Amino acid sequence: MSEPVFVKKQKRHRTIKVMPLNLAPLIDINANLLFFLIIANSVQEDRLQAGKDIELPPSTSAMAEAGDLVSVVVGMDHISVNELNIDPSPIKGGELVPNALDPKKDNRIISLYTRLTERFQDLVKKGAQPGAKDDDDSNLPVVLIQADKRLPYSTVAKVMRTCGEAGFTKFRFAAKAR
Amino acid sequence: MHRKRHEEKEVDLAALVDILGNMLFFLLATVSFLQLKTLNASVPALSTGPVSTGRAVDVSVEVKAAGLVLKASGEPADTSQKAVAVQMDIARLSDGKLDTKTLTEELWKIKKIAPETKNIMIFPEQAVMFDDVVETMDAAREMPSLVDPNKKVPLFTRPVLSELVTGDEQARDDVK
Repeated sequence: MSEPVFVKKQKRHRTIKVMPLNLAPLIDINANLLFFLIIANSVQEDRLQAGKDIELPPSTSAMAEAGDLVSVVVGMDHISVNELNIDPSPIKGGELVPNALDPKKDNRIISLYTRLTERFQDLVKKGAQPGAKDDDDSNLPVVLIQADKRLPYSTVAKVMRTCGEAGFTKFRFAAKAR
Repeated sequence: MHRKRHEEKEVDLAALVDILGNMLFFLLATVSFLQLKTLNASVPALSTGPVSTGRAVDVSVEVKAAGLVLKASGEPADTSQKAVAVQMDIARLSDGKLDTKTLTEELWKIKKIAPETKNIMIFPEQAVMFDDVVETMDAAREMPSLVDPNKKVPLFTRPVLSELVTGDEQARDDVK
């Protein structure tokens, strides 16, 4: 029988090498992304802002002009003018609350009419020309209606009628690109 | 000659990466990728100006729960063309959507006869969804070119939205 051979384990001196992480490609990518996002953000200022909590209808329209608009957002449960909600809300579940309407004035939405009239007066002071000719409508104040696609037309029609009575006879409807 | 020894000094980029990372997160959170488009529309307005008595074709589309009703009547400006008299029901498709393709085709026929007409009256029913109204406006505004499908041919670019008055409402208003 052969005798066991005891091998003395050699101690290894492990030296931990810290490999320097090459961050240059990461910074390159980050810088490109930043550049793209900063440009996108600066362009966005001129773009239209979508209202909150609404589902816009899709459209094939290519027009995306913003300009000096009064924005009316009509959601299923709220109406806002220039991002300021009308409180108490004149709309519940897509239907207008009867108390919010003025039956003597062709069912106009009282709170919306008040808010829009104030805005219209401001615009007139700034130089908008109400009653300008139809073909030369560049000076006519325009209202941008962002209406939820699930709303019944009766509600949208009452909003339009109220806008018209407040002086805004030119409309633009917002839609998302199809 | 005395040779200079170049010592490589490493720049600590961790701080820069931190800042870039934070800015990226902030910008990604605030940027909006939703593209908003707009559609022009107007409502019928009272006018004290002179009433046009020239040759014109009036085009209107009623948007109903059952589908679309296209109506067109009048004499085109081109005297060689015959007077237009169209009344056509376009039923909804089997999936409940509006048959906008047929509507566009019929409107194109009218546009060929009366190219000067730009206005179209759209009368949606009260209960019709707003989505259907926008779809009708889209179908009436333009169509793909027959020569180059990537290009659009304008049809009736000035939609005027109004309300469809039913028989009962008409009678009620007459009593007033």
